[in-house]
Amino acid sequence: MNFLQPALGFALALVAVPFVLHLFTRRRFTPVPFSSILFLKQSRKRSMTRLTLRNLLALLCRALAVGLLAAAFMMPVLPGRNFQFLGGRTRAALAVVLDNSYSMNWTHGGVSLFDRARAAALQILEQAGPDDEILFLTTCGQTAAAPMTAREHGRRAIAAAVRTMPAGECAGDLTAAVNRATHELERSGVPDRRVAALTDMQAFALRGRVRAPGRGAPELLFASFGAAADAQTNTGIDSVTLPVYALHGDAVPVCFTLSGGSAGRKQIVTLTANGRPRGEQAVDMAPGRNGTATGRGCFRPTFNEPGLAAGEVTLQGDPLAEDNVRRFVFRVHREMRVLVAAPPGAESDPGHDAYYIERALRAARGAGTGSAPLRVEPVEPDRLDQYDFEGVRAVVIPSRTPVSQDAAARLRDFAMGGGGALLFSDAAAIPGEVSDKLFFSGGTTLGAADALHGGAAAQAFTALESFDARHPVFRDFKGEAGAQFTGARFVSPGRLAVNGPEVRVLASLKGGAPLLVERRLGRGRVALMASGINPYASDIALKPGFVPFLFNLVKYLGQTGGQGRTEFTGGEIVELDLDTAPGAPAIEALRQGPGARPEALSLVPGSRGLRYRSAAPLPPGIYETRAPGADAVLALFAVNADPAEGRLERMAPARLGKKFAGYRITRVDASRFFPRERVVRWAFNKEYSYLWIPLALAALAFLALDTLVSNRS
Amino acid sequence: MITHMKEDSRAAVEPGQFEHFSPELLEKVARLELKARMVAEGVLSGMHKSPYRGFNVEFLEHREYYPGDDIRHVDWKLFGKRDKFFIKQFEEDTNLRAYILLDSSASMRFGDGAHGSKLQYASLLAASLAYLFIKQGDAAGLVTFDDKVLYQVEPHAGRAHLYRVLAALERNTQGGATDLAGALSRFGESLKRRSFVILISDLLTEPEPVMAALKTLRGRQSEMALFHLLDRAEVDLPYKRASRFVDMETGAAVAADPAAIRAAYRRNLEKHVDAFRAFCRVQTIDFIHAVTDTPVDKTLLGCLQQREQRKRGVLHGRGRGG
Repeated sequence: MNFLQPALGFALALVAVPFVLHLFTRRRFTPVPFSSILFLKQSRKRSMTRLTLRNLLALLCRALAVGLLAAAFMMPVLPGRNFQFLGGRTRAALAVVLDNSYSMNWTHGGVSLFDRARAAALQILEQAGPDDEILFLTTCGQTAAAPMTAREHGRRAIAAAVRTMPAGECAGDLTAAVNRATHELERSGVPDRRVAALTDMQAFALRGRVRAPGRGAPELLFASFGAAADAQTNTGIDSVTLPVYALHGDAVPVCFTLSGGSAGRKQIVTLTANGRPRGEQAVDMAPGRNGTATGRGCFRPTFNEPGLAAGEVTLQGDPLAEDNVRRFVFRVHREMRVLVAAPPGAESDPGHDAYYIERALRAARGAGTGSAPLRVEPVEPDRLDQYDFEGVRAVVIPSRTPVSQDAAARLRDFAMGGGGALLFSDAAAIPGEVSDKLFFSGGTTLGAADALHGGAAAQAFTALESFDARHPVFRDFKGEAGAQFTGARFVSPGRLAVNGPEVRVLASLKGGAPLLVERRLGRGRVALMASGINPYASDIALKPGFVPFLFNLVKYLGQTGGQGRTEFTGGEIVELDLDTAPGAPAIEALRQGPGARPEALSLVPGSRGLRYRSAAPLPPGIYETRAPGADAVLALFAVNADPAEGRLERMAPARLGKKFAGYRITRVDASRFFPRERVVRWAFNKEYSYLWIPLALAALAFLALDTLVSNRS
Repeated sequence: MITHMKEDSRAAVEPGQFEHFSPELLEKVARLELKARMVAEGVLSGMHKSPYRGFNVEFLEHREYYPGDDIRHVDWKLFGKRDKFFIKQFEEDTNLRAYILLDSSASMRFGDGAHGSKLQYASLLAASLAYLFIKQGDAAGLVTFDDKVLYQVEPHAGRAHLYRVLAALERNTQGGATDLAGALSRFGESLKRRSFVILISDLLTEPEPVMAALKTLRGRQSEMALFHLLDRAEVDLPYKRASRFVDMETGAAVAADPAAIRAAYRRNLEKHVDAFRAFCRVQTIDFIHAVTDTPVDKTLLGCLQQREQRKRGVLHGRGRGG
């Protein structure tokens, strides 16, 4: 026999209490005056024997009741493998699903939930029957994709893997793991099948769809750890937003939002960038929706060095560490190069668009509208196809600028690679089919104005009537500021028809004809205005709002693209787009920090040397990519823990039952038992019969007997 | 302590002239007299239904009827045989001296029947007997005792004497241990004349010495009656819980479970009572076993009826005791 609570064995000493009381307290009979005890004495002899026996019986009952109750509290169990009715069992197929999602890193009392669950897993594995089939898997990581079996790997290897396995940094999918386990067990052919899920019962981990139970569906045991971890106790960083484009010397807004925890608390948030602390804030948590608190704040560091910048926003002092850090990467640019394609001398010609474009952009640079370094470079149109586009963010093609097919193709590549292109076209200089097919893929149709080439037709005047005030380009023109822009007149603008949903109309003429459209092209953006801006075409260049409009438009077009995605979520495969494509079959990604090993990223076939992919999900961190063996950093990217995993919400038992309808479910709240690992093991292995209930009942029976005997006395 | 209340029975003592009686005692005595009278008259009315009356109904002989004789004494059976009237003549004992011996030991204070404790019941019984004796012109006396004589009032007739007897009964409240046999023996030694001795006791003592003393007393030609009084609780032992029973005389205690010993107790008590009953039958002592929840007049009536029955047995040739 074994005892689940041997420490309570001291209670057995209480058996002595009835004897002590019996010895040291005599029963006090009520004195009754009686005339003569003559006949009582004669009759008494036999009765006292009975009374003594009755007292002894009562004493025995009390001692037994106390002893049995104390023994019951020790939770005795009887081992038995050969007798089913005693709890023993025959060969079984056991699957242990260990939840290693990062919410299991919740630490309480110096021990994480994962460590507790791991201990329970080891107990189950070590005490499984010698002929049991064993399957082990996790909810994320390598063992989630490739479970271990005793048949293939051996029990020792499984136990060693469990012992050394780190807690996960991914958002686990417990449902998928349970589905996998049930499927594998059903294939085993062993009648007695059991799945033990050792988890913190977060609803997010149980988000998937449950596999329908078939015949012989296994018995499911959900051992729940971590009663204390919930949305009321855990605060995490929900998001960090950055400007897409940062120029050195600018105050770069790095904003964050927090969620979880209790309203009224103050959370300390710090910013680290390029390894240096760059700020600290105390954020007041306010009541949010669904009873969880929210908070927000912004840092505004300046970066005086261009190049790649990486940083972390960190929430201090929260029990669950993984959702307290959000890593980010962005590029700081020294300057923004803008090419203006124009024939020589055009920038001096007031009748040419380039004259107004160049002056507006230079004026914008000095107008305090934002970023300072904006370098405007004229380039001859027929040299576009050979020009060095390194560092160029946007290309502006004024109207009536002849562009060759090769140059147009080069421009398309440039845009596809992340650059921005702004075309002022009345369809004369760039043939409509060129603009349509190369830049808009048939999404627009640009026709020449009817009276463009002279003729008796009268000139057509129209005006700018409306624009999309929600667009970043027109952010500064809301309300009365919009008057600076509307009313601009246009002489015979091209007739622009929008043919596809990927094209967005930014401004329209009277009657609704599109004037300015834009679309995403590859990693870049292209905008087309169906008119020139020289005075022969329009007076828009003379409007007060023209300078900021043009600057915003160019900056908008030039800020998109670049490196591509730089932030990934833990658990997903990293696919990295590099604008400086080395073309190598593989590059290395090395996580910043000590002891990290390089991870290989392979070139994605057909990506034209631009995209690289990791073989497996990468753990959270900031990574530097470089060509194998090289020192130069090609790019930076960040991997963050899935914030959804940090939104702790325990699944209620009723909901669990509903979700796994059709399965036999046992739920053990392992957080309440001591020793919790043993309880999980016994509940799962079912290797014992539990004797405390019959012992407790026997104790009650003896107590009842004692009461009966005493009352008769 | 012996308190003799010897008074000249021929002295004319008017009621009320008892300067040694306190007002409270006088009141109690008056109450006791009233109760005794009620009991006695109840008895007498019961006795009137019988052709016999009085305690002393000893038949002596027949004589011829003379006109004026009380026809109640005509022996009709003899008339049927002889066709002649004969009168039964009874022994008249105008000098009957009755001693009422009242056991006043501590055990007699037990009980809470209709008349209170056994002693209170016995006191009323004794008062009623005294009343009856004195009413019919006999002399009645009283002796109270525990292990010694407490009060002794010599037999006298007369209403004034009755008050003395009643006063002694009222004063007789304290008693100690029992020595019934010793008290009977000492009384017997002091008895000078043939008397009618009535013993009222609970007999809760070893029977042999008492029987020996009674036998000696009976051997002095004195008629005897024995009232054996018990309280209902002594008979039934109605106690439910195991208790420590404390002897009211000796202070000794015994723990017992009444439920367990009740049957045996009753058997032993019954054996004890039967032993006295059998002894009294042999000794021609009227034995009246009474429980104190029986009205006193019924107890008394039972005694008289028993005596009548016994006498009838003598009249019809069953022999005389003595």
